[in-house]
Amino acid sequence: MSFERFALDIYALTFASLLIQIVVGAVMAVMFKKLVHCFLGLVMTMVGVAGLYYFLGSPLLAVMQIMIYVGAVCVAIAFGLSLTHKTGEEGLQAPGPRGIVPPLITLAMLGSVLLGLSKREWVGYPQKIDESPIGTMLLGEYLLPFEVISILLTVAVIGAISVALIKRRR
Amino acid sequence: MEFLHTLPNNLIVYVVVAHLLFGIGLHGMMFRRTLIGILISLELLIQGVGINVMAFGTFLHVDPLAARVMTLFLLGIGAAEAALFLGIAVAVFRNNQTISINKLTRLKG
Repeated sequence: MSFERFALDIYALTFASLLIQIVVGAVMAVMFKKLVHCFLGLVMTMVGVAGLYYFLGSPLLAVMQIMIYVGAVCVAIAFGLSLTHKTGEEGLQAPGPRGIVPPLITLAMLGSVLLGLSKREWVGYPQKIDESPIGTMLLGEYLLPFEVISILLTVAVIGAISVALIKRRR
Repeated sequence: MEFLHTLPNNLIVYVVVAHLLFGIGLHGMMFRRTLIGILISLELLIQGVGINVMAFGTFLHVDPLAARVMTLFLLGIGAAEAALFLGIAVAVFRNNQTISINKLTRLKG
């Protein structure tokens, strides 16, 4: 077996294990009883999604995903988890007949997307492209959404702090 | 093994994984018992949307850079939403000593 062949095998196996990691993490995050275990599943999924972004040819987004989600959001969730911890309230409700709704919605969405894609080319070769124009795009073409997002983040953080400081009403 | 080699180059794989994440997250949002559990499921949902946007932008040759910018905005919105949700959850816990959605029924008719 040549070295190129070996490298391609490793590449494909990495991709397959990323897919397994994402799905297993998501199932852990939703199905486990204890919230800490769910949190670990969420971290697994997010790291896997970062790997998927890398396979789609965008190292920038992979790094952003790790920094923002794994580095910031997950740490915030961990603190929220410990601040609001109370035993006996975890777990899932029994789905009952309503349990059919999420698979139905998902299948409808997936079906319509696949129908829309049926006339397009499915196979492509994601290439790493030069991502440096993103900086100028953010400050030119996409200036308004960029500013709105920054205002949204400021308002959200200040709002979160002020909401969390509300005293108990008498 | 040959089948595995075709996986990273197929758009359908990304789309199916994204929808799987979305469906699992939706199930969690409907049936978790606590606010934090719902937040974790919501994050899964947003991850699914991000994969979808990125995969379509990369494979269908619209504008790969626009897809990246869009996904970056999505990351920002997800972070803002998580911060706000956590603030609300902490406030609810301080006021009610619980975040179980079965006990937070003050607005129930």
